[in-house]
Amino acid sequence: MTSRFITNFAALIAGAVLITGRFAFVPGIVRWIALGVGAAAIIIGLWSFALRRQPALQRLIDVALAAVGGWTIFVSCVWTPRHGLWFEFAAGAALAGVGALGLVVREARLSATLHALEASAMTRIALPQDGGGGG
Amino acid sequence: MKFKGPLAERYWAAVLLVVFALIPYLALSSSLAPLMKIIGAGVHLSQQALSLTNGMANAAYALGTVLAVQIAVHYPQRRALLVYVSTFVLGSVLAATALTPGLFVAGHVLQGLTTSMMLIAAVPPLVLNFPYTKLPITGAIMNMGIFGAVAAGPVIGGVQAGSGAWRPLFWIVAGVGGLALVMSLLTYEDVPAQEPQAPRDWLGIFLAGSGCGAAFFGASQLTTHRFLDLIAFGPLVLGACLLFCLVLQQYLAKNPLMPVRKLTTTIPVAMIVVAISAGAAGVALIELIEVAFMHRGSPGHVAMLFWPELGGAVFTAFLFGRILYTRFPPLFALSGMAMIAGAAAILSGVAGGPEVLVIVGSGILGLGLGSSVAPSLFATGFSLRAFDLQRVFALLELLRGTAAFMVGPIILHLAMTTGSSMAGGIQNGVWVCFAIAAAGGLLSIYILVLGRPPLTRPRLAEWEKGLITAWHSPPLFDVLRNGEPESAAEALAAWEAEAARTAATVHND
Repeated sequence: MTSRFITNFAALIAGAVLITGRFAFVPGIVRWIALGVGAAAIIIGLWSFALRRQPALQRLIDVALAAVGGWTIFVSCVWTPRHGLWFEFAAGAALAGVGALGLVVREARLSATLHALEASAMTRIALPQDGGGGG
Repeated sequence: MKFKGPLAERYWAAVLLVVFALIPYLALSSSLAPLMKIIGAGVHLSQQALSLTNGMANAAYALGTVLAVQIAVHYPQRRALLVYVSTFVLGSVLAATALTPGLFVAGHVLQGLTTSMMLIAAVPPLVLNFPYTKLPITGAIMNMGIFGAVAAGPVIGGVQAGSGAWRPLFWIVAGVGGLALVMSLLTYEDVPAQEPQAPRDWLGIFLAGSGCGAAFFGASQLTTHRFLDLIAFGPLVLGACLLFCLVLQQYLAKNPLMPVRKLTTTIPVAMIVVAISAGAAGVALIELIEVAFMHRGSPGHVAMLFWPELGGAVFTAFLFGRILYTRFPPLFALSGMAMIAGAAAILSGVAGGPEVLVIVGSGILGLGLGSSVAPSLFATGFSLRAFDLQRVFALLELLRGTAAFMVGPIILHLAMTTGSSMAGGIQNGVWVCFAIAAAGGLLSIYILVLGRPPLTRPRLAEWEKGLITAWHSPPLFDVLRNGEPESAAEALAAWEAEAARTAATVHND
């Protein structure tokens, strides 16, 4: 597991916890869950952003993650627990979305790299055979 | 001028000069809050006019840093210092006698202007003209001079307000200024101008002057206006924009007055963030406590609650002297931010709580102020070569002074206009201070994380001779350049090799 996978997966799970919590708990508790999830999202985003050799796209996703985390804390503190419920739901959905996007991007890149490696390996295997046939 | 003072090249004489030059105005600036009504009645100035006078004195303090650097480039610095000290004494006498409101305004503004000019002219020679083994004492004295004085201000102001008179305090300030004048004559030794042929940076001076003037004018208008009133909000925003342009112009300039471009490496940027946020949160917290206790006891009694702050500042000043040779000054500065945030959390209940909150909170605040600003000043200076020290101090004092004296009135206004009661408003203001300290501390930690500076002991012997920086500060956001970790190690190894070569040269010389 790479740090990129852990970051994006953690964001996805955190978003899912907030979405589920919005329907499962009373507004007063949802508020605290949102506060914790927001703080966790900021820490995860900043941690991932500070890692060496991160692709630019992942860094953008990290910034988005930290920004959504900040927004989640804001909505949990500013609105009354009852009025903030849908904002908290939206924040959870945004976190899950950003995490999922990160996972998809990572998967697509990994897949493209694997295809390229596979093609390269096939070429290497094929070349000696061609050479042998020609001789 | 061939005259050489009998105490020239004497370390303790130079120390006394710095102490007498810095302490009077800095202590005065934080002692005025309980004296405002008495001064207003004495010189026939309204509270708004007094607030504007204070604002302009603080603007002059910030501008003075830039002016002093420019003057040091073109004119002999020690002669200029004599002019600054004499003008300070004149301004103090004007303010103390103050037969008319105009004399008080002029005198107080002159005090602000010349204090920062004295700082820029007197402190770097104290650091650089004596053996580096004296640096721990110099660091402790600087710390005491800047924040010991600020911490002593509320005690002095409260005691003075308790006596019902304000002029004796200004006469004492004039007297201490007189001692500074005597010391500057006794330690006089003519030095030539740094670079008389260098071009003058008129644009930089204009931006600094207009930016500070506008920002402090706007902040002082908050005494009688709402935040979004054009006369307050407009100048505040304009001043902030002009100061931003100043930093940008200095970054882009070929011959800048202040080495902004050289400072854009990891340790200096993190330390500048510490200095700015510590100054802003600390000064505002002191003002909020003073307002909270204004109606709860006599000024003399309230003054006694601030003694722990002075004790904390003195203790950390000496502690800083002990750790100056180690790798820890940047971490010491960060610990100061944590203490200021902790003090704010304790003081959040100050408006309706017991006095013991002030005693504990002000003690921790003193520890925080003493361990944040001066250490960050030195840590920034160590990251550049020694001959840039004067300009580094100028930039840092400009930014710190602007943040500290501009944010205070804004937070005070917030405290007076929000919340269901005055206690609620003060609590809001204290939590804003907490947010500034916490955000500043976390941001500077993150800047350090993104640069991964190796914390090494400063090589002060070579640094003092201007040959190398005292330690290696990696480029800003080094991690984001996606370089290999080895490249950072290589940069450090290159610096260490250069330091070793320089050390060998110094030793051979």
